[in-house]
Amino acid sequence: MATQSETQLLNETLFEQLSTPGMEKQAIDAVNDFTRTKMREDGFYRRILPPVTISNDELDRQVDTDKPVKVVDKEPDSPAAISIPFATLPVNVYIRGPRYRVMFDRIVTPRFVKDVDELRTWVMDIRQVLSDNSIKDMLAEEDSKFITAVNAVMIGADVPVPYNGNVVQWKTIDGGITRETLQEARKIMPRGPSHLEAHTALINNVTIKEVEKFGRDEMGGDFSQDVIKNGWAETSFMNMQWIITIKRDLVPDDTMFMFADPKFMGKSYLLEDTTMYIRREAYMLEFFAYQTMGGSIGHAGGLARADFA
Amino acid sequence: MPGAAPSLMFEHALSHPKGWFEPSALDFTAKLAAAVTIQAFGGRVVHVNASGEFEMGIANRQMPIFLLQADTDFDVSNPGVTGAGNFMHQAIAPAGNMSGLVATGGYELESTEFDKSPATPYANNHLLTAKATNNSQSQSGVLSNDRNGAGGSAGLVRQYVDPACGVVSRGAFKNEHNVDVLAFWPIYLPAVFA
Repeated sequence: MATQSETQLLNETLFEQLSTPGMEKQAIDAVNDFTRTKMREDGFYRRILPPVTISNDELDRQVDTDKPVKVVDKEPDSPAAISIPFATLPVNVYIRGPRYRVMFDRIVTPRFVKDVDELRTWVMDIRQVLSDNSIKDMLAEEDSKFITAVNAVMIGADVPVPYNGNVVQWKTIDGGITRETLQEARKIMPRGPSHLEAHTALINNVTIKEVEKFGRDEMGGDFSQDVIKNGWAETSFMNMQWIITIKRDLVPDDTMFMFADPKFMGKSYLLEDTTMYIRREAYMLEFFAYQTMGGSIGHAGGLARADFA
Repeated sequence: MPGAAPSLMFEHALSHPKGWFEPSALDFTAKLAAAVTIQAFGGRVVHVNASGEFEMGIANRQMPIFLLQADTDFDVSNPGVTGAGNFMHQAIAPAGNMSGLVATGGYELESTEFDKSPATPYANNHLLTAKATNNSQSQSGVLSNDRNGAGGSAGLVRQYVDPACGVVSRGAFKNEHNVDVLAFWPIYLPAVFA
């Protein structure tokens, strides 16, 4: 941790950059470096469906709008192979396949405004404040949009999903959180016509405490001892990578989301990654962060949700 | 979309010749209410309902807002279910948020969304209103100088009596794209207290 004098020195350096004509870019870069690191560590959406940065020439132009669009091909279904007797020819299948569009919008933080002379009295690292405020807002919005889309695909608790073989992808499982019910949850996704296995589990930081209660006979030997001693560290368990989130408003207690490998789920694209805009005009400082991101879930079968009752 | 008539990106739009864009310009972002059953084109007038969502037109003391995007614009929605009900995709983004310019902001605007056949031809300084219904593609949220809104013939909008959202500035004309637009200054003038 930086000392108070070091922090003030950092702030003064930032002010110097903002005060010198032509140096605004360096000040922005200083914040950007930090922003990107925190974003990668904290957002669960980007870990579950990692975004791919695309350039202008990878966009698909449309005639009725100049807004960015990316068209994604989807693996086509095909009739099953059949056994036939000799001297018989196969049936014809004309090749057609589905596609879907990924569209984009912008996530932006509020614009923060401050008189620089009031900032001079701060003893905290101002760059930390700038980026923390911005990142929290943007991560919440990113993750919220993702979970909203996931829930929409699965329709509702215990409702068969007609576009995924009429299987229930959002299932209520009685019996609390035990070794048995967790395995029941893992059965949800493979029951679908795509036969996918859950690749990632998403659970909140309260619900994971139920898993931590597992004894040696339930969790497996020294792993149980390690968890009860040190708490849950993100790891692979039950052949899934577990992500623990503190966003309980998005991932409720006693709920576990499961996701297939990203290539079976959809696409997420970044047109412009998190960027901090900073401007100083006379003695007024303003700054905000923004990003342009798009995403679509192209395959319903790569999702599952278990609500443990 | 093969089978559907194509559209041009300036056919239904709000232009802002004066007063916008500024980094601190007054705009407002919200989702479109489910009660709106029409396509809410850019340039139409909306207000914010009790749930914080946009509904079409203005009545009583509702603050007029002029839509910058249509609800079908590609940065607002990305529907992923076909007309036959088949799943194509579920959009993660866009999130359905629309934005508009608030009438108390300082602008001159041009909108394609106005009554093209008013009972009284538009003249400078006519007050404008917009019908507060959610189900008429030709009238809901459409600018008009008639007190009953688009399609009305009850007489001109009356100050301090009818809700007004604009004052005609340069009248109706064809813009550079050969599309009819109405130029006006937005105002906030609620209807008489009742």
